Amino acid sequence: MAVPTEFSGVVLSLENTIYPDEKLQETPSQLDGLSKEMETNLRIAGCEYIQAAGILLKLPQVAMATAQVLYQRYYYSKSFVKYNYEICAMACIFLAAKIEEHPRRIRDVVNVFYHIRRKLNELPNKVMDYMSNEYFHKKSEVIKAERRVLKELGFCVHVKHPHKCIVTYLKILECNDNTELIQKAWNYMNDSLRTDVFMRYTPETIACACIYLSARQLGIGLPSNPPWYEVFDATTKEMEVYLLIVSVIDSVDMLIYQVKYVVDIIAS
Amino acid sequence: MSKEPYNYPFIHDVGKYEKITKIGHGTFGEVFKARNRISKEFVALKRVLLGNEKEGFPITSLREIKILRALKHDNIVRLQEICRSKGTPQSRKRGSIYLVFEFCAHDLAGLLQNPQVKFNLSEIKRMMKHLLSGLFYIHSNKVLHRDLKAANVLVTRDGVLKLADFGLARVYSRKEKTHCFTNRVVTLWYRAPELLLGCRDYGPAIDMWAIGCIMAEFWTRSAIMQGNSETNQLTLITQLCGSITPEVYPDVDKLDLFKKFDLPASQKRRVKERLSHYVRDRHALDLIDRCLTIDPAKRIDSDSALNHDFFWSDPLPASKISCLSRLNVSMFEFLIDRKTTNPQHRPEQSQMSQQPGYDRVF
Repeated sequence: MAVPTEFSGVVLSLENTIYPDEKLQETPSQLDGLSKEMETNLRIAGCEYIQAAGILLKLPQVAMATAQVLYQRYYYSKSFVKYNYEICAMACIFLAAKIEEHPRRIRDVVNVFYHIRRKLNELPNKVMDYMSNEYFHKKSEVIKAERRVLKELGFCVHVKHPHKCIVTYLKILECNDNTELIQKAWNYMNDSLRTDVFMRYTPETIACACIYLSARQLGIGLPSNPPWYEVFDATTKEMEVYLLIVSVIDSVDMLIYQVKYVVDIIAS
Repeated sequence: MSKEPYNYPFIHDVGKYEKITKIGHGTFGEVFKARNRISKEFVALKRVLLGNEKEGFPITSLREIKILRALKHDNIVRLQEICRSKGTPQSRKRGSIYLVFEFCAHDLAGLLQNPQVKFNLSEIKRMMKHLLSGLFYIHSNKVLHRDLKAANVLVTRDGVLKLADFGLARVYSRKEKTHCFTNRVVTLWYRAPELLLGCRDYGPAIDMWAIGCIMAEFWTRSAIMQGNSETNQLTLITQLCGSITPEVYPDVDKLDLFKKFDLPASQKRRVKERLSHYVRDRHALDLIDRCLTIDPAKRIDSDSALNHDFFWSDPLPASKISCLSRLNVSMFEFLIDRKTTNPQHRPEQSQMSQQPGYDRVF
């Protein structure tokens, strides 16, 4: 491996890494022959797994959000073909729980995923045998995967989330009393975690897009000349692309609904 | 390995540095002095211990990385990058992660233990100013250091002090009223009374207590309260700072351990009296006295400390430290401990028994 002369500039940042377009176009998985649709499905399935596991582990939403961003980023460096998505999802939630100061035991993480898998296959509930080889193996796989995620992302694992921006921006727009608008924007934001928008845009732009979508849906007028979001450093072009990506969420495969169904059961 | 086109070089192999010598060791891992093979620049490599981690990558290291990335200040040690080493399958050695820091020539404990190193009042002022500026910066960024001691203060060849070792640091918020932190932080000799009494809802004041202890060390040359157990440490504090009672520290009876310790009563506060043999400057004495206040609510904070008369009276803080440029050898506590025939062993976190039971209060 060639030793670069300069210190790597990427490493020393707490800002979210924004990936260049070419990196997002040709992913490692697609280079390995995986279809684009299948990759999208695996991305969404992994994120739904993380969401379900997070609820069962009683983690705050921010931990799930961080885990989902880590998961998405990881698979722009590594291929789904070579690295199991379920193990990676486990490693991401395990790591994100620590990052967001709500650490969970690795045993609980392994067990929760085991539980979700049994639910998906409509098997009766059962606690994993902590003496089994299967458990032992899973555990060491997750620890290895955690280190791979850290290494692959160059330890840039502290994710900035747009949740805070949404609240601040709505305050500036004098809409902070409209709970329906806040809730809708919030939902859009959580849904967009299943896509790659966090690799494309800054948290500020994502916050703007979420507000824009929600306001449009609820028929709430916001200043348009000049567009309000330009104050928050988002451009019209960025917003349009974002809208396109989010619309994809509505048309994805059965896989999510399957997992979503489990999430609903768990949440209820 | 690097055949894959999307393997962005986010993290380098530690092989780009050449290890020179070990300069530190502790519960956190090992620290090496090393040199960049190409730029010839010196760095300090801190290895993250992963060997017996059952819970994956240690949360303390994640915190340290996050905090050090967010903090950029002249008086905070700079994290340059993170490197890794690959495990070798033959020796069944696992790979490690290294934090790469700028290299500082000395640590304060090492310097103070060397009788040839002498500081005058204006140099001490300069160093205390650096120390407090660094601390003010981290406190205003809502970070607690939680392990301040002379050995964790690094000194560059140019006489700039830098706070180091954020392995126990963590973020706190003023909004959350009820923290539930562990009170088993800070090396025993620098541990504030509220921590010793089991407080779990502490704040920046614990770092200021340690600052008071470090400041006194500039004159006394060794730690001022070298307890060998929690009880002993509290006794030493009482002997120096007076009895800990609800009169001097109103909320003290709410602390878990207050009733469990049988502490000496009706001791008078003698901080200034006892230290005046060493510290001649009255402003310096006053600042130490304010840092070593029993009640954390009344203890001086880093901002007020920087505005204390100590820094604004003659002689003013020096612009350079003359004796450091003449030192050709690095002074690290770790290296001194090994050289001296009668090593003065300092207690590590939570293992403090080997110390002889003498009561050492200046």
